[in-house]
Parts: sequence; C-alpha cells; structure tokens
Amino acid sequence: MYTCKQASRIASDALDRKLTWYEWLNLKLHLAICAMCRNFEQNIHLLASTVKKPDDTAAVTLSADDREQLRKNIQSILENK
Amino acid sequence: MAHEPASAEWQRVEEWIADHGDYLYRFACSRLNGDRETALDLVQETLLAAWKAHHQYQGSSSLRTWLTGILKHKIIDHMRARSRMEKLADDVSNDPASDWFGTDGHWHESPKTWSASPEALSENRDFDNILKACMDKLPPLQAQVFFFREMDGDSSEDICKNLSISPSNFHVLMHRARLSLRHCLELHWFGQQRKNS
Repeated sequence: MYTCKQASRIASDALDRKLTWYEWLNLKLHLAICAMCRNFEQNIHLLASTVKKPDDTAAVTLSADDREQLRKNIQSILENK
Repeated sequence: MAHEPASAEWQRVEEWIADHGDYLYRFACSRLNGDRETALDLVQETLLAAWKAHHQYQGSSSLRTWLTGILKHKIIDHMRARSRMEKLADDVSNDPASDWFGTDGHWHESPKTWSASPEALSENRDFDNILKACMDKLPPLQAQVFFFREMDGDSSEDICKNLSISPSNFHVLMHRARLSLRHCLELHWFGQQRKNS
C-alpha cells in the first residue's frame, strides 16, 4: 500500500506519463481511503488547468531601436567572424 | 553599410529578424518575467546560433519551431548560469520531502479541497499575480520544467531531451514543483479565500 508521499508522487506522474496498471491500481486504492491525497490530486489538477499558456501573441514587440540594434550587432559579429 | 557579409548569409538573418523577431522576443520576455534586456540578448544569441547551425535545419519542423527550440536552450542556459550549478544539482539530489511529509510518509499538513473553477481563476488577475510570485520561488530547474510542461504543454520526452535530464529526475522535479506551488497557493490564496468567505 502506498504512503501519502508515494501516492502524491504517482498522482503527479499521472499528469505527465501513462501509469503502469500496478501504479494505477495502488493509487486508486490509496485515494479510496485517503481524503488528504484526494485533495492533493484535486489541487494539482486544478493547478494544471489553471496555469495557462502565456500569451505569445500579446502586444510585446521589438521596438524600432531594438530591431536596429539587433541587426547591427549581428551584422558586426558576422563581419568579424 | 561598409561591406556586407556574404550577402545571402546576412539576408537570411535579416529575414529571420523580420519574420520571427517579434515572436522570439515575446517568447523570451514571457519566460524571463519581462526582463526585456536579457530577452533581447538571448534573441540575438539565438539568431547567431541558428545562423551557425542553419545547415542542420532539416525543414522537418517549421522554421519558427526550430528557432524557438534554440531560444529555449538559450533561456535554459541563462537560468543555469544565473543560479549556481551546485544549487541546480540540489534540485535533484536534495530530497525536500521532509518539508511536506513525515518519516512515515504522511502529510505534515493536510491538503484541503480547493473550490474554484479554472476559468474563473485564469481570469483573476490577483490570483495570477500570486501564482507568478509562487513560481518565482521555485528553484530554477523546477520552474523551467514546470513551465515547459504545464504552460507550453511540451511532452515529457521532449523536455527530458532538451534539458538532458532522465525521466525519473523529470518526474521528481515535477512532483516537487507541484508540492511547492500547491503549498504556496494554499497559503497565499485558497487559505485566504476560505478565511474571507
């Protein structure tokens, strides 16, 4: 039977890989009798569905100066290689 | 311009800046907590590295995906350099489980139910700030792994390959990141919400 420490690890792994049948069964058995780990599992699932992809389409853009600086720096490095 | 480097070569980089510069810059900014100066440096390093390695680009992924992959490496290198190497090693070798569990493997402090909908939380700016602050407290490697997995939705296999870590280390890091974030959010958000309701 898993301890809470082991069960929390397997519950976390379940979000990132497919559990073996043995792990899955042991996790279910532990969760059936442990409200604390059920809460942990609920918490990390909520965490996973809440953190969102940062908005890479947001309005952050290179300023004209930045762009020019970038061009100059790269050009001078390429010239002096 | 005095003399252009073998013009086709230079033109290639110019095109990259024009087509992907903004995207790469945004990508870097969002992962560096808005540190625009470092973001610009890393975009520059990325373009130079890409230029050096462009013959390796197979065209199997889109050019943007390829450039973004290089940028990710640069961000990771930067994070590594910023934190001391031994601290990074600690991420994996030191077991902070005693922070959360007794020697018998039981919780020190019982996790409680979180009553909130993901949609409502995602749109709550105050929550977003607390979440960011909690993520800032994670050791760098944990933060990166968590970011790539949960925010970028990268596969576990890709993350292990990109960061040169073993699957078992990856799962240890994810477990620890979730334990820390869960604790931090309970302390600074969900616990407070319960108190106020």
